[in-house]
Amino acid sequence: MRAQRTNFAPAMLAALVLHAALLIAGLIVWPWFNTPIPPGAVTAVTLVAAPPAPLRPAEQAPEPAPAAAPEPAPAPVAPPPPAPAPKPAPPPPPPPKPLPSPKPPPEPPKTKPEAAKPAQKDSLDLAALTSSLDRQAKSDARKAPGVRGALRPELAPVARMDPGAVEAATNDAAAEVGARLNRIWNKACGVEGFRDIVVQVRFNLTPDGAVEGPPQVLNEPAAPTPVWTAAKDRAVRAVFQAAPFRELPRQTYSNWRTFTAVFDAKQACKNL
Amino acid sequence: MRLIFWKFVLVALLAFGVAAPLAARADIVVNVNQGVSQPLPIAIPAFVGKDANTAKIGTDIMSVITGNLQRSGLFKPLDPNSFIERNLDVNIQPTFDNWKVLGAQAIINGQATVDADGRLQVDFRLWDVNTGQQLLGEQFTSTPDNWRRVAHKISDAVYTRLTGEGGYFDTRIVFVAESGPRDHRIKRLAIMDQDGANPSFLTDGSYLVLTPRFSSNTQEITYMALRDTGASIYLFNIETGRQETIGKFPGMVFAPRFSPDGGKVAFSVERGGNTDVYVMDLRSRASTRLTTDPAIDTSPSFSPDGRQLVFNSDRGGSPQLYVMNVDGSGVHRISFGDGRYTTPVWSPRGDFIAFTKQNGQAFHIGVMRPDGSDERILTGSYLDEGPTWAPNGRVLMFFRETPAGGAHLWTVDLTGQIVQPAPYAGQASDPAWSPLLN
Repeated sequence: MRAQRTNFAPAMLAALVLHAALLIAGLIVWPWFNTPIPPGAVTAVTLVAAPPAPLRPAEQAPEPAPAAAPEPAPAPVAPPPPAPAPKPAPPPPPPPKPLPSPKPPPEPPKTKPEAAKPAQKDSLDLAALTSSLDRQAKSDARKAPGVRGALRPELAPVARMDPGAVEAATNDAAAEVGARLNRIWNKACGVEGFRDIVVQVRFNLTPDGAVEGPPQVLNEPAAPTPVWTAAKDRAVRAVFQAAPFRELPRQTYSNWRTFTAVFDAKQACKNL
Repeated sequence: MRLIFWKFVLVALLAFGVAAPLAARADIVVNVNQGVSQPLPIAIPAFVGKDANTAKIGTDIMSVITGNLQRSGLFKPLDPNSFIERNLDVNIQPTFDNWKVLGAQAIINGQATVDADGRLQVDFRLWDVNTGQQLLGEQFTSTPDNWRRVAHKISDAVYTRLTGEGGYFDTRIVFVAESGPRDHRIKRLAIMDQDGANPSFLTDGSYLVLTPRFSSNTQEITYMALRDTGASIYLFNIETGRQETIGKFPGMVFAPRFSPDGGKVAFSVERGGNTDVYVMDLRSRASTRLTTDPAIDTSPSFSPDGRQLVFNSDRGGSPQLYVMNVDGSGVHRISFGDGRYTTPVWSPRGDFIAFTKQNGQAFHIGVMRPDGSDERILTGSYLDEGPTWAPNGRVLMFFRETPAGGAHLWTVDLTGQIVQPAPYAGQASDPAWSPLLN
């Protein structure tokens, strides 16, 4: 026993050091969330000979707009009187800068000491747990030989649907989501290289059909081209624009929670 | 200990055995292979300024960006009157819910400031409304009277980020401005920004100018001038105003065009009823005849790599398009459709050749692959002619003439779905698109 305890000591020490480091890192990073967003690259614009130079064959170039030339500048939007700042009337800026949830760092230190509990083997009856799972698996196998069914009832409200019904629910959901995405996905077939791109996006839906969490792009290359990045954004945008999928029946939620949408520009741009 | 270990393994395996089928079943694969092509709704509030001067610059910049993106056909700028949030601080994230309800999918916000030295600084950010991510954040500095260039550069940056292809807003167009009655047409060389701003004449109209063409990498043009003394080809540096002829040739010279590196000019020479294609090295001024066929060979245009030329020739009985190597070898025909194909122009990205096609009573602007495949007709009217590519190879400008009215400049995109008048209402023909300004 003594030997065992000394084996765990370095692990405990390492865990403590790591968590302390995590906490410090969190404290260091925290102020960044409140600072203004830094601007990007600075690009100097240099004027390139606005007025064309005079021409040799005896003539003055820069006449602004001859008889034929109409409106030199577009100015489509009504130019409101230049009243800049003094209009904080609808002050919704409760600066939503801090993106992440406020206090994630303090939690980990607590969890770790617990993680060390496995050393107190008496508190966790693995044997009992194992045998209980064994028993449940056996009884399930006896009850429904063909279906490996959901063990957690909260995931399967209509649980024990027969396989045909499950498949039908899945197909209906796929058809509904697919039809909506096909109507919304804004492709860009005129962009060079776009028609060679296939983007796979996995996303979860809530029981209400809203997008749950950020969609995940499954096949992003290590060094995506600008066209790829724009195509990826279009795919993710389509998912958000298409949601919520309210038509999906709540009672079969466990059958349609996660989707992988394959945005196939090769097919979509075939005839364009 | 060993027993516990194996039990652990057993629990893990059991858990996996239960979870894996669930996970596999949960993923529904959906094929999205149709889609639509619609302009992207984008919100462009006026850029914020700290005083009346910078606020006006901010509003002007917003107007130019709005016009650029709208004309591209790929964006739908939203009505600023509908905005819930205004005067967006460029250093604070917008409240995205206020933009989602308007249907905006992207937001551009920015600010203009003029420092103590009189330098204009423009900061802007591009946001994705759905994900709340900043897609771009850049800062430009210049002189205040150069705000329009800044607006074009911002437009290019936004266009590139949201489409993935290069922009074309910070560019200019050289064209032939036409005026006067048909039998006494005055044709002057003119230049304007691609959005129609800053138009001005480069020649006085005392002689005819034809076929101006931009170099693909410098602010230099070549054009044909027709005077009482004959036809000449000129080189004209727009930045310095320096102008020179490329020399005298026996016969008529016309249809000049730069090579991609700007070091050569290809053109046609007509002599005794025979027209052939020549190329001149601008340093040595040595010219080489590339075609020797007794037919009319004209309108040469280089491929972007400078290794080939496309031209049109009636050697087969009617004007068709041919491609040859830059030394004149390997001539082969690429157009085989009905009608007459003229004025070929190789796309700067190399994937298409644009042309004018006359078929029956109608004229069309079309494109085809350099091997002649995948021909697409993009426009059609009483007279559409003279295509020129935007530097990103996606948009073409050409001129359209109606029986009643004169010629006007138009644009069309590569899909043929976005055809619209160019923002210059005067009569004009023979447009030539500049490369991006530096």
